[in-house]
Amino acid sequence: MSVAARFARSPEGVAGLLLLALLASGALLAPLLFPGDPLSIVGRPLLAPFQQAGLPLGTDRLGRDVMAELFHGARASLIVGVSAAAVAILAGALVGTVAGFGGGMIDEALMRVVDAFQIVPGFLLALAFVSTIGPSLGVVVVAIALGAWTGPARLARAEVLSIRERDFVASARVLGMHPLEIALKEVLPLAMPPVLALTSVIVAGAVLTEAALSFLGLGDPNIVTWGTMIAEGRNVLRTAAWLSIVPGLGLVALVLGVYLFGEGLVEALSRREGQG
Amino acid sequence: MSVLVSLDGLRVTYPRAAASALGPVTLDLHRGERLAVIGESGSGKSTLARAVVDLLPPGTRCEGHLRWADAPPAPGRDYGYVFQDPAASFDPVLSIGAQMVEVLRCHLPIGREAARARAIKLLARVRIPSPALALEGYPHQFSGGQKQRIAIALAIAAAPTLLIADEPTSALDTVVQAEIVALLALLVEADGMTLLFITHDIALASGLADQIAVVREGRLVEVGAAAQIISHPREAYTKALIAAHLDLATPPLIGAVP
Amino acid sequence: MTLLEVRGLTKTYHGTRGVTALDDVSFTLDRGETLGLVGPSGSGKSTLARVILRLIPPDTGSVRFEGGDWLALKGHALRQARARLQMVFQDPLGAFNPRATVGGAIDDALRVHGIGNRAARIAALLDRVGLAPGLAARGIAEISGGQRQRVAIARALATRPSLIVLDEAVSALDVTVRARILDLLVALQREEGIAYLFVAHDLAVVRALAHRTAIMDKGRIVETGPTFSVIAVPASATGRALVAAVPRLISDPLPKEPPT
Repeated sequence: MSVAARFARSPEGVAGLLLLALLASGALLAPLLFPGDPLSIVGRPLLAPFQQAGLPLGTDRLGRDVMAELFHGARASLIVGVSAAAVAILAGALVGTVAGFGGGMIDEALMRVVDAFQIVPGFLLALAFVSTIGPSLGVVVVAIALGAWTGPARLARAEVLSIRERDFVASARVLGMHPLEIALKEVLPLAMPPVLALTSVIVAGAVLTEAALSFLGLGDPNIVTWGTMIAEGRNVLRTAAWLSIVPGLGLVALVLGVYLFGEGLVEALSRREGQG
Repeated sequence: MSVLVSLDGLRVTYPRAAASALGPVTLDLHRGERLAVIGESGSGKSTLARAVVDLLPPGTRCEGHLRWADAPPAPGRDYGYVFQDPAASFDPVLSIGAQMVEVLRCHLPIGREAARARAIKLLARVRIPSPALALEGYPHQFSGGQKQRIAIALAIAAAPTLLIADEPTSALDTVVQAEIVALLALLVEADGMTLLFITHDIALASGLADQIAVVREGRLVEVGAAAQIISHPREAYTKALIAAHLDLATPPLIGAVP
Repeated sequence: MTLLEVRGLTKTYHGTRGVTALDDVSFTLDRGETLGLVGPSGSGKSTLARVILRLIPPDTGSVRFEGGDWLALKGHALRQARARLQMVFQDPLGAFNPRATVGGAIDDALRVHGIGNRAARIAALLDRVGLAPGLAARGIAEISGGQRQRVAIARALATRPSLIVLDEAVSALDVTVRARILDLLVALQREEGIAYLFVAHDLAVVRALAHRTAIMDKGRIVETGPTFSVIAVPASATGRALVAAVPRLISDPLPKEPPT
C-alpha cells in the first residue's frame, strides 16, 4: 500500500488535509473574492456580523471589512508559517548533517551553537530580532526560523550518527566511495524523513509566533495578519468581541489543520517503516 | 502419553497479509514430550509456537481448532516462553532481582523475601555464578549467553508444565549454544516439563528432542520420532535439510592446501 | 606466495571499561587460500576483519597487502586500492542501502573504480553468481536473503579483488541456501584464484572451505594450523570447546529415564 493510500485511511490526516485545503484555497482566492486593499474603509465602524449583506462578518473599529481581512490574513499566516518552517528545516538539517558527519571538533562547535540558540526562548529571540532590524515579511520569517532550527538540527545529527554506523555505509567505504558521495547519496536521503516529520509542529509554532509578533505590533504593518486583527480587536473586546474571536478561530483552525495533517503523515510513513 | 494440546487444521493469517502464514496444521503435543519444530525462515515455525499459547499480534485470524486437555494455559504459570533475543525478555532499567521478584510474586503467593530467596535458587539452577550478587545486576551487565540463562530462569520461575523455546540460541555463538541446549535438556528432564523447541537447526533438534516436526512454507512436511526422522526421512525436503547440515564429519568442499 | 601479512595488531576500545579487542595478532594469508578465523563472540574476530578492511584504525601493528604497506595508504590512493580487497557482510539486508536496486548496488562498485561497459558487466556478474540478469532492475528489499547474499558477492567480485573478507557471510542464511552459497564461494576461488579471510563462530562451516584455521579468544590468536589438524587435535582450550560445541546429527537420542 502506498503512503498516500495509508494517509487516506487515517481519519485525523484526512480531517487535517480538508481543513488545510479550505484555508489554503481561501488564502489563494482572497484577491479574487476581495479585490483591492483589505485595509480600505468600506462601511461604518463596528458593524456587527450578519447585519449587512455585503459585509457578513461586519466591520472593525475603522470600518474595514472583517471578512476580507480574514481571507487576506490567512495568506500572511500561511506564507509566514510555511517559509519560516522551510528555512528552519533547511538550516537545521544542514547544520545537523555537517555535525554528524564531521564529528570531533566540528560536531562540538556546531552543537554548542545549537545549545546557545536553544537556551534562549524562541519567541524572545524573534522579538529581539524584529525590534532591532525592523518589521517586514522577510525579517519576520528569519526571526521565527531562528528559534525553530535547533530541533531539526538535533534530529538530523542523531539520524546521521545512527545511519553512519550501519553496514551499508561500511560497504560503501570498502567499495572505495568518496566520503562526500557517501554523505550525500547514501546517508542524507535516509536521514531526512524523520526531520521532515517535524514540519507540521514547526509550521504550527511559526503561525502562532507570527500572530504573537503582530499582536505586539511587530508584524509587517503593510499587510493584514490574524495577529494584528486580534490586537486591533483587543481595544473593543467588551463591546465587539467578534473582532478578536473571528481571527482567533482562524488561528485555531489553521494550527489544528497543520497538526492533524502532520499526525496523519507521520502515521502513514511509520507504518511503511514497520512493515520493512 | 496423554495429549496436552492438539492442533486440528490450525491456520493462521496475519492482519493485512494475503496468504496464511501457517496451516492448515494438524499435530498433537503429548505430556512430557520434547517436540522440536524445524523449519527455515518464513516456514511458520515461530507462528506455530505463538499460536499454541495465543501470543499472536491482535487482528491475526486463527482458523481450525486448538484443543487443550485442561483449561487453556496461563502465561508464566502454566507455560514459560524463551525468546530468540535474550535482551528482549528484560526491562533494561530494572535490576535482574527486581524483575525476578516481580514475576515470582505475580504467580506465587509469597512475600518479597521468599521471592528473593527463590530467585537466588533459580539463578543457581541455570548456573549463573554468584546468584545473590547477580540479582543486583542490570541486564546490560550480562553477556548474551548469561541473559538467555536468566531468561530461562524467569520462564521456569513458576514451575510451568510447558516450556516453549523459540530459537533460544540463534543469537548466540556455538559454544554458548551448546551450553544453553544442555541446560534446557537438564531442566526439562528434572522438572518433567513438556518442551516445544523451535529451531532451524536439525542437528540441535536431534540432540534435544524425542519428536521432530518439519515445517515448510506454513505446511507440516512430516512428523515422527526424532531418531526415525534423522535416520529414515520420508520426505525429500527433510532429506535436503539433513544433506545441508554441516558438522565435523561432513567432507570438506576443498582439497588440500593449494 | 604471501598476499596478506598481519604483524602485531593491537586495538583497545576506550570507554568506561577499556576493552582489549586485539592483542598482538599476527598471521599470513597466501594467494588463493582460505583462512578460517573462528572464535566465540567477543573474541575480536570482527574487529580484526574491520581493521584489515581499514574501517577502524589499529593502535599498533602493520598490515602488508599485495606487497605494499596497506595501513599507510590514504585518501584517493586508499580508495583506488580498495578494489583489490573486498568484503561480504553477515546481514545481506543491512549491507545494502535500503533504497538500492540490485543493478545499482553493483553499478556503484564499477562506477567508483572507473570500469566501463557497466550494463554488460552487471549482467555478467549476476550470471557469475547464479542470478538471472533480469534481476538487476529489482529492489534489494524485494529479493530473498540468499539472492541478496549472491548480489553482495557479485558486488565484491566487480572490482576483481585478490582478497575477500567474509564476515559471518553465511551465518544468517537458511541451511539449504547456505550450502549453495558455500559451493559458489569454492567455485569462485577455484576459477579466479581469490583468497578468503573467512570469519565465523561455527567450526563446521569453516571446515567446509578453509585451508587453514586460526582460533581467536579474548583478542589473541590462540592457535593456527591446517584446518583438519586444528579440528582433529585442537591444541587450545578454546579450540577444544569450539570442536565440542558443533551440533551433531544424533539419530539415537538418549532414552528418557523412567519417572521415579
